[in-house]
Amino acid sequence: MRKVNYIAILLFVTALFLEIVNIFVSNRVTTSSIHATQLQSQISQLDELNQNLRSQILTYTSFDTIASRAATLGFTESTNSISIDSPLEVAASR
Amino acid sequence: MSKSRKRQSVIIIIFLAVYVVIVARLFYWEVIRGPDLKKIGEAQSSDSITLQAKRGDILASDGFPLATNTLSYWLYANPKLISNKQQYAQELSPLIKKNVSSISAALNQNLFWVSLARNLNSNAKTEIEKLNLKGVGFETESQRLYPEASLAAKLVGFVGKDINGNSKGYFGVEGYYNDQLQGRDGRRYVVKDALGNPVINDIREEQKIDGRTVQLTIDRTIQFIAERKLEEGIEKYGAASGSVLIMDPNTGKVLAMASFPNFDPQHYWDFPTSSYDNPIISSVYEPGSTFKVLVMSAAIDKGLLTPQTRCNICAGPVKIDGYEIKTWDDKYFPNTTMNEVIQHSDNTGMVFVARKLGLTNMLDYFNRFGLGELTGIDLQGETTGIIRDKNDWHAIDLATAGFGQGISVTPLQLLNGVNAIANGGKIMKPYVVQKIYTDTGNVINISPQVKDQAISETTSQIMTWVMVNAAENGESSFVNIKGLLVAGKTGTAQIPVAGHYDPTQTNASFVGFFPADHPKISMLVILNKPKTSIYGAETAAPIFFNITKELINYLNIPLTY
Repeated sequence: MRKVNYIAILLFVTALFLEIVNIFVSNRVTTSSIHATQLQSQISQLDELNQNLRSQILTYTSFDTIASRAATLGFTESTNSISIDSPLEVAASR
Repeated sequence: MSKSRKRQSVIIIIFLAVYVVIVARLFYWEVIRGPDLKKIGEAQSSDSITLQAKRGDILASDGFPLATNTLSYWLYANPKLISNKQQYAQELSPLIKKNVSSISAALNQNLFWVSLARNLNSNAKTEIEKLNLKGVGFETESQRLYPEASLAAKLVGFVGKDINGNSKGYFGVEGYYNDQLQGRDGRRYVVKDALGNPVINDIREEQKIDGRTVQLTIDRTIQFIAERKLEEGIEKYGAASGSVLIMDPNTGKVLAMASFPNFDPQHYWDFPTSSYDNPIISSVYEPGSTFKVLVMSAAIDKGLLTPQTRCNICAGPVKIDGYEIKTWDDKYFPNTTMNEVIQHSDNTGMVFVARKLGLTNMLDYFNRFGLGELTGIDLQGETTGIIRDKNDWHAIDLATAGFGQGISVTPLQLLNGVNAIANGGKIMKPYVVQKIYTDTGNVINISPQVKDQAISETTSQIMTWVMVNAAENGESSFVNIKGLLVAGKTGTAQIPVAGHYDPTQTNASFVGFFPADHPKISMLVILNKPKTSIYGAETAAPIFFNITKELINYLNIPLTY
């Protein structure tokens, strides 16, 4: 009879212990999920900023924008050109 | 049986009956209704989001993106949370560029969600956020960005929507490579807790596959130069339209492809649909005198003529089938050589050549030069020129084909044929994409392909010097660049209008390559209906040489004499 009592108490304590562990682990998983969501949100914001900045850089460095800006600033096309390379041999061949 | 035993039996039976009812109900809810309830539970606690695949970029040869992706913002509002709708409309109107009344009308709808504006950029979003308006929000969308605006627009194409509202590439590279560029969307399935946060160990995902990026053969600088000079030339000579095609004759790479009128792919809807077509691959025209170099090449390659062969019908106009064929300036050179026929662009001389060649040989060489069939260039919208069936030719057709009238080709077909004169006789497959980058980081290189050997290397060398003579001593010699050997030919083709040729309307052109001894660049310039002069020598040739001057500096091509 005593043995039965001890076994019953042991089972009860084990069940209680496992339940406490379960509560603890579930709580950690939930808080990790919240943290993960916050990190995901930060990543999305930074990614969005990155993409917008990239688009701005591409537009500002395009030939189209540079040419317009150059024209606004009064730059004109150079019409003079000189070649500093020495001429090829007289007999030109393929 | 005693009373107590009877009572026990009744109680046991009642318990058994209750037990059976409970099991039956459990069976009903767990087994029969189980799948339905599971779906309802998943719908309440789980979520799925589309992982949008990124469309691949289109890069120029220097790696600068001609087409890439950017974020745009969709402004929406919840009218039920907005009390002072008129004030909102007035504040938003200048920022989203819509009039106050239309914004007001949207906000006065009895809905929880209304769209106010789409395709807003990040600056507009930031300005709207500064207003701190309650009840408005933004959805993020991916939008195609063309940083160089209309540069190479007809070659790049644009991204629009198909009938299901999905993004799809149209025309040019966006159209031809759409399947590779678009990738495949993925999906993420998430189970959420009671607060709506995802449960980390219960996330499933169907991986998205981002689109492939393609790198073009197009040189951004050469494209820019070609477009600028073409636009200036169209304005100067009063032409209705014009095109410039620049290639590497040795490989078939397209270095620049420009046509006007053009369009802006960022706002393609603001332009007429006719502006989306790329006439260099999609339109046919009668090439006129530029075609003479191909016909002469054929006759020399067949061994029927040499540059010193003399024409015995060139003393005056040639009469055929009731028609009279004259030279462009009504000047005639009796006993002229074939070299001089090209130099003077002598139509009667080309009638002599065409007759020597004969129809069978002529059609055979058209086939070898790739005329009348697709070049196979990797752009959407290519068409092929019109070469009549052999049985439909008459003597006059053979004669006029000799000087490029009565047949039609695309500009790409013509230049691709002339490239054979520059590169030792080979017909190369023209192409615009030289590399494809996969989403896994692999690189697929596209190599040059030889389609045919149109003429022998000897013929190509002979014709090169015939064309050098034509450029240096012909009617366009006044625009030559001193010190640079250019092989070229002018063209002035009358345009057929309602069954006859209009002598006042022409396609003026110039085709050539340089340096003639080691060709690096081949180019074709076409002006449609120039007004200041109808002649290629006075309109298209100056544009050709203006571009050439820029290119010899850019490519460090030394002057040789």
